[in-house]
Amino acid sequence: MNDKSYVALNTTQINHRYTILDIRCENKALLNRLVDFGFSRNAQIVRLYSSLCKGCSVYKIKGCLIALRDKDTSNIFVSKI
Amino acid sequence: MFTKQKTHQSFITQDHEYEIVLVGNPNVGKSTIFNSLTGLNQHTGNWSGKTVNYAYGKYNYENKNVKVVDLPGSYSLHGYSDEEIIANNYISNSQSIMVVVLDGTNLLRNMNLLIQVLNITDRVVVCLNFCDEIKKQNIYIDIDELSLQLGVPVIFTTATKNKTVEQIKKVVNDLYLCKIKTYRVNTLKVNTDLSYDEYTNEIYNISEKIYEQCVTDKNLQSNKNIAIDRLLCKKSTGIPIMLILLAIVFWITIFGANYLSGWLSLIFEYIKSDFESIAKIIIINDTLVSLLVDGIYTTLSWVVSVMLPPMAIFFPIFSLLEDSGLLPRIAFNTDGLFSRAGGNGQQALTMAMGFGCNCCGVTGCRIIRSKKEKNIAIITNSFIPCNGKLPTLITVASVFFATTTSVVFNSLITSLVLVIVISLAILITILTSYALSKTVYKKEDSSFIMEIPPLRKPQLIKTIVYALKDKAWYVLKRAVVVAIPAGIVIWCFSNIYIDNKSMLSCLGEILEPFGVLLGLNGIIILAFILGFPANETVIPIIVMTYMSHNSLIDFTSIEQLTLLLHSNGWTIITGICFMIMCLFHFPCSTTCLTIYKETKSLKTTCLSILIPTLIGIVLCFTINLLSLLISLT
Repeated sequence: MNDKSYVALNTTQINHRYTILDIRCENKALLNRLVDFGFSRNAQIVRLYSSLCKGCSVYKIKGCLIALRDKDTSNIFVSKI
Repeated sequence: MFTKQKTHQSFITQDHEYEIVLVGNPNVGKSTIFNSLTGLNQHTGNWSGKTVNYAYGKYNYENKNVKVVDLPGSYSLHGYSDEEIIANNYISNSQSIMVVVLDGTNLLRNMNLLIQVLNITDRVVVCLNFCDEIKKQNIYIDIDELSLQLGVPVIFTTATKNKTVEQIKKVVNDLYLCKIKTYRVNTLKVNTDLSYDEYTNEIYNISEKIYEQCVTDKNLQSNKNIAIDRLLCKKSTGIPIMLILLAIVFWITIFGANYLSGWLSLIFEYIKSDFESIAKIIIINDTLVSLLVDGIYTTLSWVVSVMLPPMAIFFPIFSLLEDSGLLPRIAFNTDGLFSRAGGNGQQALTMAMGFGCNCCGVTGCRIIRSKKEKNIAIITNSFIPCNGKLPTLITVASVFFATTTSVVFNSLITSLVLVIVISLAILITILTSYALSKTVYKKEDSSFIMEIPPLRKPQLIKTIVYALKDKAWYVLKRAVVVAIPAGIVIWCFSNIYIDNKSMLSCLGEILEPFGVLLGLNGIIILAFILGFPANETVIPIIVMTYMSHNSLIDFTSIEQLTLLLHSNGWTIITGICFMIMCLFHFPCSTTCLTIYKETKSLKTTCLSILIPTLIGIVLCFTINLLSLLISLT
């Protein structure tokens, strides 16, 4: 995480590919589920679109579409590929 | 690292030779395979979390009875949600043959669970489901190589095809008879002393290696899904699309139900005189004949001719939407709204389930992991009109709002009224969720994480047949089971006289002042109270009471019902207040019991009864007061 180019996942550009650098999630249950979905360091992720009522986005990771709240993805740091 | 779950008693009983367990991630087609294998009708749909408990079934193959267990979908053997704990306890302690169902179009993620299962047992058959979609997406999977790498048999399946069913039965049988040899592969072994993320990462590394060797994904998957999703998620297009969709669903339901109801009521009316004549010949006692004809037959014919048609049309349409994968998108789209109200987008899924039956909606709340959000979803689920309330609402909306001569226009007006009523129910759900999250259920961090399934073309015929066979038939059975005793009770109440007045009228008179205060009358309040066992009986109780001092016999048609209600003092305000009260009053007895079973909390059960009732009372009182003020001015 010394690289200055990192950003929080919820602020990433739509349709751009990023690599996960760090997941700082205090909610253990959520962290485990993120891990189940393939959220880990160096995994590639793309933000696809936001929800109609805002506050939520869909990401493509390991070939799957995963919906997550922006408040949760603000603790996941990524860098652009 | 993670702890093992509590032990589970595997149940090998005498009536079957061996047992197979369907395991897999959520929404990979386990329940569809289960239904195809057993011929049962376990609930299926294109979203994760439908199966929240075990389902059992049986089939016979080569003169052997085989027990099939359908487990709730699980992402990991070390999960923490209720349904995952159920699934994991079972897998960890079972000696059965595991049929691991994988989504062939999403193999990499699905292999996480498979490798965890293979670390426990090698009595495994792997089904690569959605075979047709694999071909369409130009994904090539070398199943011989995959089978070699995993040490267990691998087969392509399309859950709905008979060939698939026979193939699964054969491979499982061969494995049982040891005709197929399986073995533990050393490279799949994972060190369980690692932390959870290290453990899962190691599994992903193994999966990726196997994936690279066995799968050629030309990545030709169209971006059509994402384009449609973007359309659904834009404010300018998403909201109109959803509202129009809702209106279309109700319009088709109401328009079609009008015709079906008309035909059914004609049939019942035609049979009634013959039925009465036969009853008079067989049963000489006039009172018993009256009980049979005016009590049981009349209530039953009401329930069947008025309640069944909307449900017989609504359920198949709803199942088609469910199969298309639209529901998770609604949950995703509404999460922002629900989270601001202290709820969760998945509440939208449980609300959708509530349209069928509030009991299913309450049970479905298990998919919500946060206890606070789950309780909020449970308490507010009964705000959504179930199959008992929905036809009642349609009937009253037709009586008071669809007053033109055009059938098409009447259906449109009724649909519009229904959309407004449902929107009110959603609005009150959100407001109540907010109030609850600020008072009773506060201080709990929550999250929303959900897999968005691909949009799929629903199987038109199969879905309609299943929905009719399963849901509509269930509603009809329940309605009949409820209607017969209800008919007897209502008849007794309206034929037992105290001071020349029927018991129904007496009780109605006692409740009259309270009813008038709410823009209703004593009989309506009594009907809601007596309708506690089942909401379907509210209108029949009202009709029966009015008929006890009215000459109208044919009330199964909307026109006659309109006359009956108007002649008993119903105005448009009564109609509106009735609809409000129908939406917001205590849940039926079965739902109350389910709430208690799910929450094990008397407080939550009491809140589920009190909150909707209080909201109903306050809203009706306000509407009545406003109408009085307007009429005075």
